[in-house]
Parts: sequence; C-alpha cells; structure tokens
Amino acid sequence: MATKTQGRLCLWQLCQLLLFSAGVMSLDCNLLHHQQSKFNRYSLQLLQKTGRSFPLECLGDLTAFQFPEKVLKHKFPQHAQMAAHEILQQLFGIFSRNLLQTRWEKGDVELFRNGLHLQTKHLEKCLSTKGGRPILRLKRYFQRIKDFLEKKKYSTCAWETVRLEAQRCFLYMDKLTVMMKN
Amino acid sequence: MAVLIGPLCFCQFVYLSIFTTTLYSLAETSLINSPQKLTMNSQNFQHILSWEAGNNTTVPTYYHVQYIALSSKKEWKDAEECSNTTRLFCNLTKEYDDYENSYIALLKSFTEHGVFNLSSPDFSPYRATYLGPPIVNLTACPGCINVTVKLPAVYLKEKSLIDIYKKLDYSTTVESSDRKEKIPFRNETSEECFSYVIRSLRLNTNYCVSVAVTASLNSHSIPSALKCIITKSTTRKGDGTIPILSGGLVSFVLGVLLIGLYKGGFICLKSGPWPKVLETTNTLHCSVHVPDPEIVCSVQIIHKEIIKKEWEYCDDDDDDDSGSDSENSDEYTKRGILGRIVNSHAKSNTFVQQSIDCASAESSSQAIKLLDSDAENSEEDQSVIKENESTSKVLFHPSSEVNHSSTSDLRNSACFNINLSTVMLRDPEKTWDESTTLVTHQEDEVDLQDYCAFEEFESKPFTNIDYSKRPDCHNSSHEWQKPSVSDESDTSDSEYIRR
Repeated sequence: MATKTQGRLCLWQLCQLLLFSAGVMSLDCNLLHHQQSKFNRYSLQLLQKTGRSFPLECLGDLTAFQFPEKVLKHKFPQHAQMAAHEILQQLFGIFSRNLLQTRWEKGDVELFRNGLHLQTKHLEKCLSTKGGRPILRLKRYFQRIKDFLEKKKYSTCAWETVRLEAQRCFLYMDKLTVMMKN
Repeated sequence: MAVLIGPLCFCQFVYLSIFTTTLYSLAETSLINSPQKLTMNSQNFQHILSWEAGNNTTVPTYYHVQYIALSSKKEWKDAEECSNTTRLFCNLTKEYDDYENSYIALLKSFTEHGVFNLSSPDFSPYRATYLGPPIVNLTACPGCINVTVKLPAVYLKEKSLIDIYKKLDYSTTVESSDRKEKIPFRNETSEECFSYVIRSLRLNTNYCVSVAVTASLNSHSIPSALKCIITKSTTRKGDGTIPILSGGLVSFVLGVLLIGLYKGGFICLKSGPWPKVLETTNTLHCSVHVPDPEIVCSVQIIHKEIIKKEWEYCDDDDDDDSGSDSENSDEYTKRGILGRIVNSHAKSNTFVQQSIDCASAESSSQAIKLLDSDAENSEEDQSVIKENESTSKVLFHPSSEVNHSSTSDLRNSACFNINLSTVMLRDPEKTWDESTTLVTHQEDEVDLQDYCAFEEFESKPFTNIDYSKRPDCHNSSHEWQKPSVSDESDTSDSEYIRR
C-alpha cells in the first residue's frame, strides 16, 4: 500500500517537473520576470512544505548570515538577472550537500533542486555578461552559509537554519525579479 | 478471611480515591489556567497576537509575551506592551518591524500553579500579513464602470505597500446583482492610487465591484466590501455637442487659412501665362503646318556688305578645315563646291542676318551668325536657288546618312538656331521636284531659339516629318564659318545641307 502511494506520488512529481521544465524551456527572455516570479512562489512553497515551523530547540544555532542588500540597489535589469542567477546557482550548490540528517520530505527537496537547476539554466540563456562586484558579495554570503553547515556538521538544526535563510533569499529574489522587468 | 478482605478493599478504595482526586486536580490546574490557542492577526503589517484564556477565570493569570527574530537575533526579547498583562492580546507591530525577517512569539502565562509557555509558529510579515482592503470608488459611465483604487496604509514607518513589494497585483470581481455573473479582472500596479475602467457591461444594470490586492509572494488579501453602482443608460447631451463644436471650429479655422493663403498669393486658382519657351515647343509638333503671316520685312536690305564679308571669311575657313579633317575631307570639298556655287550667286541674293544665341555647353557665349535667305526674293533669285537646291541635294544626301549613324554623340555638342521660315516639308521618298514652289514661309514666326531644345524634339516629332529646306547656299556656307561645327560634321550639318 505504501509503495503504491509512493509510486503515485513520484509519478505526480515527475509530471509536475515535466510541466515546469517545458514552461522554462519555451520561455522568452522578455517574459523572464513573469516566469521568475512564478518560480519564486513555487520554490518558497516547497521550502515551507519540506519542514515544519522552525523548531525551538534549534534557536541556539541561529546565525545572522547578512545578505548583501547592496545587491538590491542596482538599477539595471542585467544586474538583477546576474544576482538572481548567482543566488539560484549557489542555493543549488548548498542544497546538493549532505542532507542525511534532515527530516525533510525527500521528494520536495528533489523538486526544489530540479527547479533551481532549470531556472539557473534559463537565466543563463538570457545573461549577456557575468561577474562583477555584487556577485563577489553574494559569493561571500553563500560561503558563510557553507562554512556554517560544515562547522555544524550538517546537523538537523544547521539545516533548519539554512532552510530559513533560503526562504529569506527568495524574498530578495522577489525584489530582484521586479528589477528584472525594468 | 472475609473480614480480612473487607479492610483491604477499603484501603484500596481509599488509595484509588486519593489518586484520582490528585490526578483530577492536577489536570484541572494545567488545563484551566494555560492559554488555549495562539493566533496572529496581521493586516497591513499590523500584527496582533491573541490567545484564549483558560476555562477557570477565577484563577488570576498574568501574561508575558516574548519574541525572537530568527534571521538576526538570538535572544528572546520582551514585547514592551505585553509584560505582566491580563489582556488576551498583544500588539507586536512595533516589535516585528523588520518585515523581511521571520519571528517566533512566546507567550508565558503566570498563575499560582506555575508558568506555562506557548510558542507560535514562525511568522514572516512579508509573506503572511493580510493586504487590504483597498479603498474603492466607483463612477458610472455608459456600459462601463470607472474604478478608482487607493491602497491601504501600512503600519510601518514611512513605508507604503509599493515601497515594500514594489509591485502589486489587483483583482477585481464584478457581479451583477440580478444575473449573478462574475467578471474577474486582473492586473498589476506599482502606484499607490490608480484607476481603470471596466468595459463591456450592460446598460442600466446594477453591478457590484470588489477589489483585492495581492503581492507575488503574499497571496493573503482582504477584498474590499462590495460596492454597487448602476451603469448609465444613455449618453449625455454634452457628449454630442463638444465634437460638433470642435468640428465647426476646425473647419472655420481651415477656411480662414485657405482664404489667407489665396489672398497672399500662395494658391493660384487661375493658371498664369504659358512660358514662352514652352509655348514654342508646345506648338512645334502640333502647329508646324499652320501658316502664320510673316512679319519679317524691314531688315532686308541693310546688311549686304556684311554678308559679302562673311562669304569671304567662309571660304578661308573652309580651306583650313578641309586640310585639318581627314575623315570629312570629302564632305568639305563638297561643301566647298557648294560654297563656291553659292558664292557665285551671292551678290544677286538679298540676305537677312539673324543673330542667334547658342546655348550649348561648348560655345555658350559665342554668337553665331546665321545667314538666311529671304523668303520673298525676286524671281531671279528663286531660280538660282532652285539650281542650288538640286546640287546640294544630289551631293550631300548620302553623306549625311552616314554621319547620322556614326556620330550621334557629337550632336549634343552643337547648338543651332533655325529660322523655320525657310523650312519646307516634303516626303523623302519622292524625288525632289525642282519646280516645286517654295514654301512661302509665312508660317514661321516660330523661331527655334535654341537648338538644344530642337534636338530633343528632333527624334520624336521630326523623324516622321521629313523636312526639306529650301536650298540655301548662304546657310550652308555658314556652317563652314564656324570651325567647331565644321570639325564635327554630323547629322545636323548634313541635314542643313540637305535642306
């Protein structure tokens, strides 16, 4: 019975993934912000779904990673795109790490990662230039997160903290998405 | 045995009863005095945490609220207004000021029996606060409703919804009260106050409109209360008069403008006189045959001496040219013969000298004097000329044909004026009749001032009309007077000669 439901779930997730990927591949760069906006909502829902509310026992592990908010002050859409691309790429890197100790729904994490990968590819298509100062700041920020995970040995609480931070990242992504349109 | 069992049972009963009463009392204290449920009511970034008190209201309970910001601070902080309070709510608007952060609230309830903690799930104001309701104003128009929406104010310092979310989506629901039709209408805005028109509605119908505002990552919204309005049935009178008035005004201004232009001379309704040059060309191919009375009379006798001089000069030139040009040497000799023939009769003829401007590129300023015979000569003169005609025709007709084909480009270099008073028209197929009467040439007032113009027409109107000129030795001799022309002997020359 359990295997049946699991099979159905996997099939359903596969369908979702296919639908999502088809949408990503066929979109034009002019409609990128629309698609990015949808993706943000979808990813945030997945992140919320994977775990429950932040456990009180993990409050001790809370860390201020300090997202570089200067990244959000650039006015050019190209900069916003570059920043968004970097964030997605880095998040994919982080959530591909050791997740053994987490009690998250594995299917949800897989979907989240696949979404990240596809969206990164799509952003790459529309990018004209790469690099720059804001990207360096973002790299440093994500390095802090990686260091934190390593330091805490990928514990459950460390991952919960990172999941919370990832949710916060998507709030910034939402702002970057609005900037992409301009 | 029974006696023994009796007191044992009693003891058990007593223990049981004691146990149950303690249990009951324990359960009662824990259940009654602990708050039941924590709820966060957040609207436009005003966050109010509320809870339900325990059933036992007789037990005095004091509440203390703490909060923690998950992304920046580690410690629990006390909510200022919610320490040792008996109220069942706590305003955390000031505390949750970083709207991008996530918060966890902790409610501590103090009773006689101890402290009970209850924590809320993590709460992100950015994603979880309810937006709205917006302030909606409706204006009716025929078949449409004009909706003006003002976004609600936000309980944050110097911030508006647009500052926070940059862009908002608004959805409008239009319902007609009678038919229960719902028209959804979605769009996005980045302005605090905006208006739009919902069109294609039925006339004179009561519609109720409700607007809800959402953000891309925050779908929590409170729609505005239904506002109803009746769409207008007919257009106003003023709507019709304004276009009519404006149309009249525009036409009046246009009329004034046109009259002004006409008066100023910018518009010419009456066609002016036809330019002289164009008149000439215009009449050329149409009215060559129309004879006009010639007026050339008075100048005849004056220039006899000059002509003589020119004839002499002509002979000299002829000799020079014939020596220099090898190709056309034959022709020149022929001309020379003609010249001599002409020369012999020169004295007996009366000549009119005509001065003609040549406007060709090569000899623009050079005035060429062309001699032309008078049409109305004496009988003797005419007979002489007839003889000349015959000679010239016989001699030069073939050569002219050759030149015509070979040196077509040279035609452009020379410019001549012909007095058409001496032109005679004839069919080239017919043999030249010596006795034919000369064209009396009253026809030609038309004076070809410019040969260049003539050239253009030559190919079209004159190719069909073969014209022959009365053989005039003076005319042909003039050709040799001009060196440039004699060098480049061409069709025009030959034609002249043929004439």
